[in-house]
Amino acid sequence: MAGGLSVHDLTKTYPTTGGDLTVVSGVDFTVRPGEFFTMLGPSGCGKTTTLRMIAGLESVSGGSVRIDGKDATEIPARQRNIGMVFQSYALFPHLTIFENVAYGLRIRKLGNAEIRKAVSECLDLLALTPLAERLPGQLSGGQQQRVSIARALVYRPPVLLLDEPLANLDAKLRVQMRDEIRRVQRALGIMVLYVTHDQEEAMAISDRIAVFDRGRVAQIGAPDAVYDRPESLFVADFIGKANFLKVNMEAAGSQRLRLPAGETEVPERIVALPAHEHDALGGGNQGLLMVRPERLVPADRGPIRGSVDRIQNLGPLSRGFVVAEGVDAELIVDLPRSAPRQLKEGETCHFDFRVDDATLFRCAP
Amino acid sequence: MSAVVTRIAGRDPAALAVSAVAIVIALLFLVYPLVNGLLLAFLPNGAEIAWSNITLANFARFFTAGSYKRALYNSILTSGGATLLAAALGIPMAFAVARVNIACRSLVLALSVIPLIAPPFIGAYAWVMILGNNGIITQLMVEYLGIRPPPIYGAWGVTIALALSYLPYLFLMVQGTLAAGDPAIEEAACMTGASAWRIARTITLPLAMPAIAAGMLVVFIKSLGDFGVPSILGGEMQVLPTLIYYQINGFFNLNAGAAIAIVNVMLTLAGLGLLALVNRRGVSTLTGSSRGAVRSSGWRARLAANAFVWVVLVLALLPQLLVALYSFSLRWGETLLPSSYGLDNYRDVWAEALRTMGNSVVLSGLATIACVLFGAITAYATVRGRAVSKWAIDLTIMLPFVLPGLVVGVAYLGAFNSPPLLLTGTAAILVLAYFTRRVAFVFRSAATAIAQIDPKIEEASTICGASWGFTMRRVMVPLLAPGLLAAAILVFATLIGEISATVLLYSASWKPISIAIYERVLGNELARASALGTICNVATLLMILAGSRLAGRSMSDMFR
Amino acid sequence: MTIQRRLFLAGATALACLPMLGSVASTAGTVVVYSAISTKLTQAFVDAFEKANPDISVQVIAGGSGELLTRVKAERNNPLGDVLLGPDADTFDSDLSLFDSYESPESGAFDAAALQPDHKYTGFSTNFQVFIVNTRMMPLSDAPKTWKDLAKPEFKGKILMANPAQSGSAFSQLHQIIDLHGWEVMDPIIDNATFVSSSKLAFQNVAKGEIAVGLTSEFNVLQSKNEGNPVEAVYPEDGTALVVDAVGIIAGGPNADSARKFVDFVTSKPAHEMLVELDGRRSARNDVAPPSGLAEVGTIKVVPYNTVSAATDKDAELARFDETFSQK
Repeated sequence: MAGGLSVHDLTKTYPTTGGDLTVVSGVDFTVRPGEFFTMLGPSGCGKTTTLRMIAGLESVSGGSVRIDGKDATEIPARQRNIGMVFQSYALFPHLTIFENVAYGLRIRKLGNAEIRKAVSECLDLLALTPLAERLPGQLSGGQQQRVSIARALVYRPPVLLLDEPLANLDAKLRVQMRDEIRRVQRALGIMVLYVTHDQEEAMAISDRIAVFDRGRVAQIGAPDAVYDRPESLFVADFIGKANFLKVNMEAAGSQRLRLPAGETEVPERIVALPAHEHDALGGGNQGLLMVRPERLVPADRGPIRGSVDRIQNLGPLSRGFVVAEGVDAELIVDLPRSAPRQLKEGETCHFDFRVDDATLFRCAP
Repeated sequence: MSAVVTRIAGRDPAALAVSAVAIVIALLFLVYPLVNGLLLAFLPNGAEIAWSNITLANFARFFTAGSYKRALYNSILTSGGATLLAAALGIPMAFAVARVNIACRSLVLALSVIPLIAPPFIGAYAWVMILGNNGIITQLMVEYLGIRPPPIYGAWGVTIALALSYLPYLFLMVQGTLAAGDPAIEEAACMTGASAWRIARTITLPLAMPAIAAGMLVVFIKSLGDFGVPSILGGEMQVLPTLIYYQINGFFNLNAGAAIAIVNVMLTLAGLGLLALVNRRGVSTLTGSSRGAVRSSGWRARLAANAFVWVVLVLALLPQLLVALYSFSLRWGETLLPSSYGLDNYRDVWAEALRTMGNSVVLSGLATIACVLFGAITAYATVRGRAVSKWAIDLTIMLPFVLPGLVVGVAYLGAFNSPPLLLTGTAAILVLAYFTRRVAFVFRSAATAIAQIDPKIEEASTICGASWGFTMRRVMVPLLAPGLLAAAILVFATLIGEISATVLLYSASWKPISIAIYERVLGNELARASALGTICNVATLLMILAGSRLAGRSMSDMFR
Repeated sequence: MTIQRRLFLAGATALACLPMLGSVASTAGTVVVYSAISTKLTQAFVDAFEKANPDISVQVIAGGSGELLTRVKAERNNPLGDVLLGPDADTFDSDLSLFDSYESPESGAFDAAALQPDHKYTGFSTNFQVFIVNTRMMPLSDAPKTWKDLAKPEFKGKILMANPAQSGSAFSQLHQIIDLHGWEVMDPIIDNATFVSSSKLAFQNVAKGEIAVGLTSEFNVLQSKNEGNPVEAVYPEDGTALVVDAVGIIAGGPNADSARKFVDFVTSKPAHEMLVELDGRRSARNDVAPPSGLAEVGTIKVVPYNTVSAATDKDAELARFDETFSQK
């Protein structure tokens, strides 16, 4: 596809003493021009390796990488015309900020005047102009990160790769910077491939998210799709918080589900578990009903009953941990603190939810 | 932060005791003998130490006597030349080893240490036998190429031999820095489109400058103080160390010798000054990254790297290879190669080789331990403490390192020949002389290593309730141990071949192998000297390999 | 093993070694010899002496003459050596106060020229200074025949000498030439010759074929020839002095009695026969024949060598040498 980026069946294996170790297996996705695409997953899931293969810093064991319609799999990294921002910023410690940013332009043999103009614009875009003559060692973490971005963007590459760029910053700065990055991306209309393990970050700024699980892509979709319509237990549990309730299905065709303290209807959204997650369920009759914490409300009547073990005040919301009858794990109940009905520690009550807000996972539809 | 640590350490009795001992040791064995010896420079020959006798006449000779002026000029010429040549060969070699997937990396690193451990004289003689007027390569070149190489004697021969002898210091230091560099920086440069050559030129090389400068300084210092090579290859050309020898052992003029030694030291300080200049904008890129720098595997790079590395290695090892050849020769007249071979030389020296090698191992070993203990403690005090004058400590420790061994030997003889400090004739005086000559090396390594450890680690330990001593033993020492290991091994290996101070200080019951070799050279028994020399080289090499293996690291890890 | 344990072991070993580092014990049965002669000969002496004196063990410190004398001088407050063996007489003469007088019972067998008037040292071997010529590089017919010949322009760059300030034998060569012919001959010789730092190199390099002519002692030539090198000795026809290598007792040494016994041995006929046989040296004793291969005394023009003037004039001559040498 013109101007886009895609990977097909991308695989990476390392030969080790005990046999081959596969860290990335059959990854497939396409990124559209101007899109902010995030690869999300826990540590060791292969997202960074995938990014490095796209960059050309890691060799490909199988599959291909296409950039701008051309097969880039065998092209050396420095010829791919990609911008990349590293987790450790990797600024050149012996060069000034100006020279750091200008580095890529000097390679492209631009004239001094042109370089000055392009670099100034870039520094301006990232609010770095007063720091142009300083050395990286004199800058704060956030400033270094912005220099790193400026350096990657200055030569207007079609793609920008970012490898967990905010991991080393403190919480408040992280939130600020992610918005910065999104702002810059929109302003330039550049295609971005972003890697992170922070799902809140991914949800906040991405157009689409690819959730990685142990070397494979579990699900690709827009943030609300991935959150509201997870296609596997892994995704459901990784993105946001999830409550899982074991349910037994009654005879085929039945519209009722039995829960410890009552019954509920079978929800509309039924998801067939991927093969490797079947172990989570006992037999063909078992299912897992997933309800998000913010969808559970305390009620006088409801299919769940439990006592509140403890409550955390999280600012805008109040999180209660409930020990429910017949349920193994704790349930999490989130209530806005402005809601009239609040939970109290030690209180026992029923909990209810709307059927449309639940998802049923089972082995086969 | 460091002030907090001093506050903690400052009240701890163990810390105070250790610093007191360290200060006493420093004053007694570093300051006193050398000051005592170098004071002679300001007195006329044989005069008593008295204010009325103070004179600068010994220094004035540098402006009046032709031989002095020439020796000074020649020293600068050959040492400077050797430094530049060592850099020209050593820097690319360091790149090749650290950044390219060459074959047998561990072997290359192990072999590169050999020129440092080989006892001096034999190597210089070997050059004569290789490139002298009747040398092997000379004869081959004349016969097959019809050209005669320029004579090996004089400035150019000395420069080349010095460069090849001390090149490993520079190579190992630069190689270590390059191998430990942060790979992300070069990857970032790569992503902006830079070719491998541009990255090397604009990123890797500038960032390696501190290590390169430090390596060049070591080569410069060592070349300035080297006596063996110029005494054999210099021909008529005198340098400062041979001039000192001439004055002390020929004219018996210790005063003139001391004055020349001081001038030699001043040259070294000039070198140090240059180093400080280069390091002004020094930046550290060492990370905890265990990944280490990327090594390229392209076949062109590998071919070039392998070729270059082995050419330089063979050049540097040529003398020792010849020594090994000579050790097997029974009769070698004017023919190209020996006319008969055998093991007789080895048979003749075997018993003595075992005994003297054992002595060398014990003496060098003890000195190395002393270097590590004292060097690490002093480095800690200098880096962490509010040491009043760090430069004074630095100078005190560096001084015996840069002085020619002969001067240190004479100074020690003078300082410890009367009670209460009667140490002449014991093995202790030799161990101490070795210690003072090498402690600077460990001090520098330890200082660098300590500077890279976050002081917060010690604070964490203290907050847990640990005493200073406990923190040192359980936290600092294990953290420093790997970094100090390479320094300790180098110190140990180079001490085995030490001769200039040894010849004046050794006692009959503790004869080191370097003396056994020297004796044979004096007695013109070159073949047997070669046998001893080869045994020494091989044994030391094995010990280095064993040492690094015991410490659980391969050779390449050690010199990272 | 943890690092801590290893360090502890290392420290313990160090402490355990301390007693070993004690002083060289001055027991009744020791003699410390500072030896400037070859290892082979030294070892032979040690073996023979210890066999004849089973209660005395010999400890040897080897080195060049210069280094050994530096040691003796530096140790004068607390001498550790008993005997200085092998340097030339000039070395002893440079500071006789360092040595004890001792007249060995064997003194009668020595020429007066080999004895020091106060018996501060006794002659060991005698040496004629000769030219060593590499006959493959220069046929004997073209070689210099006299000291004066060395000044001839055709020998420029073909002569190797050791630096007289660094080599006793080289200084004796310098002194002889000045004695015989003065500085008008010596100066051009300085111009013609190449100087090296050690007397070993002066003949080794000729043997190796690096240069045609060298000035050295006759026994070096003999040794070299026996090793198969194409060299011959040329005895200067204008006269060569008999230079003496000596042995003496260091003043204040720890084992005076054993020292005397050792000197008795070294000056004895059997010892001298050893030095002839093993080292090819010419014995200073009258009753021991020179090694075969060295010219008979009768064929050589011997000139006297004044060790006293050599000692007193040394500084001045070396300074004058340096003047010319530094103009080169």
